[in-house]
Amino acid sequence: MRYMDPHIHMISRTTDDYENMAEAGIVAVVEPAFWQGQPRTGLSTFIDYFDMLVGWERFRAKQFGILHYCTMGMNPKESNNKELADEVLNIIPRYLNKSSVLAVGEIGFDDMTANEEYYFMRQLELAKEHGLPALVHTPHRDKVNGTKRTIDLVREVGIDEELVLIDHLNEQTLPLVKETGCWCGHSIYPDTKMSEARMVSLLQQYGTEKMVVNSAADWGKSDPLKVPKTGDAMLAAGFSQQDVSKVLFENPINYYAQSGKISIEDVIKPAINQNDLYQDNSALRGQTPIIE
Amino acid sequence: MEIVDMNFTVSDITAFIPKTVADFIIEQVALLDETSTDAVTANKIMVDYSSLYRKLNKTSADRAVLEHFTVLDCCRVFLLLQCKKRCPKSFLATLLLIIKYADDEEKSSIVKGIFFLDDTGDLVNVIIDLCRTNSVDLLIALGLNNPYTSKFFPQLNFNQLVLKLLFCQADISQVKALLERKNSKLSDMANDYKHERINANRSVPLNIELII
Repeated sequence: MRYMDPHIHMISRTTDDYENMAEAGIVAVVEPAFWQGQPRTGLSTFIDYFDMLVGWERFRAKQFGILHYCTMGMNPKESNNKELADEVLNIIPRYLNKSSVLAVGEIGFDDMTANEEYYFMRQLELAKEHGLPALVHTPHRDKVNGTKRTIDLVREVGIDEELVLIDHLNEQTLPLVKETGCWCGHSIYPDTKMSEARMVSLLQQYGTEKMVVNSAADWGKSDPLKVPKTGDAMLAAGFSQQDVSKVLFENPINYYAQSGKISIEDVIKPAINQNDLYQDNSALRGQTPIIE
Repeated sequence: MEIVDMNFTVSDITAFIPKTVADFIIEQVALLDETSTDAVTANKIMVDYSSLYRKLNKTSADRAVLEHFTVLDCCRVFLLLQCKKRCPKSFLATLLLIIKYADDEEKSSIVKGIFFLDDTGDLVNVIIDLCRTNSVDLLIALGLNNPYTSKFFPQLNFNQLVLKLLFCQADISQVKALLERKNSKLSDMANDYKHERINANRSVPLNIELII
């Protein structure tokens, strides 16, 4: 079985994770630009981070047999420092046409402040202007209202709902998104968000159309193998291999394929050559290089 | 609304500061030049502020003496109050930089004493920004037994803080003026969160019914 994890923050993970993910059948990942756990204090740290997403991290993933793509955007938490947020918004367009940048994201709400709403709209407009998908985070707190307001904003901006994936859904918010043309994202976590068993129940109730599952693994307690583990749970619950492949491989690729930068045919495990270097640097630490 | 205030005074704080540390603080603050820039003053105070835990032994530093205030909190807030007394005009600008330079643990002490340091709420937007932390200790310092957030936070930010406290399993009955600031939006958010937990077969946070 081949899998794609369409939302995972690999920059926070180890090479062991990459090895285990490849072993479990994950062929490709999408890494949305994200909050670093504490506020950034200047534009240059955003530039270095964005450059790393299209540079070193892409190389590092390939070293372990995984294709790495990303989405570019300013996280809602970072939208509340207006002066800095304006500077960041100015540089995002220069990344959006790069070949590995599949969408604008992750954008959305955190505290649901006026500033968050303003920059959320501006970034939806950027996605619309560039003909790119928009990956939208729904808030941890006040999730139902955050999801409703998200749908309102998508409609106000006028971006094609097909281009929008609304993520981190649960039993309360999935029905709201199902009434739209947007794609439905679910993050499977060890403790919070959504479990494999609950995800299986949602798939039984709502079907597999436009349903997407990710691990959203980051620097917190999370599990980069949650996509294949959800596949196992689906098979155990009686779903077919085709259903598993549709939800955990084809759906996310077809969603991101709207960027014109990726297709199902493109997503095959890359050959590993650990003798490769990135700007003269290697991810090896003394081990014998694997060359396929 | 009830009078939102600290349950103790600056004099109460002072009583818990070892004499050697109090002398050190007074001596260092006397060195401040009122004509210095905010950045120079903040740099000097930050060095002293960060050094205070080394002047206490660990057991006594972490001892809670006034509600959630530890001895170390008392010493740190006393240092900032002395700085305010010495340089009143530039104090808020200096404090702003100190908040920027402090790590999360150091920020917690500032936040616990912020009602003494900024009793007019001038720094409310800065304190709101601190709520975007992932540090549970800092969130608890912001939200529990803290009259500043209860008095000065707009409804949206107050509601978000209370929800964050529920998320980190803090006892929201310790939020000052909680019942007076309870509102229908907060009630709806808490009710949604309660049902989200029930859907996931998880426990319902302690005292969530207080705001529903």
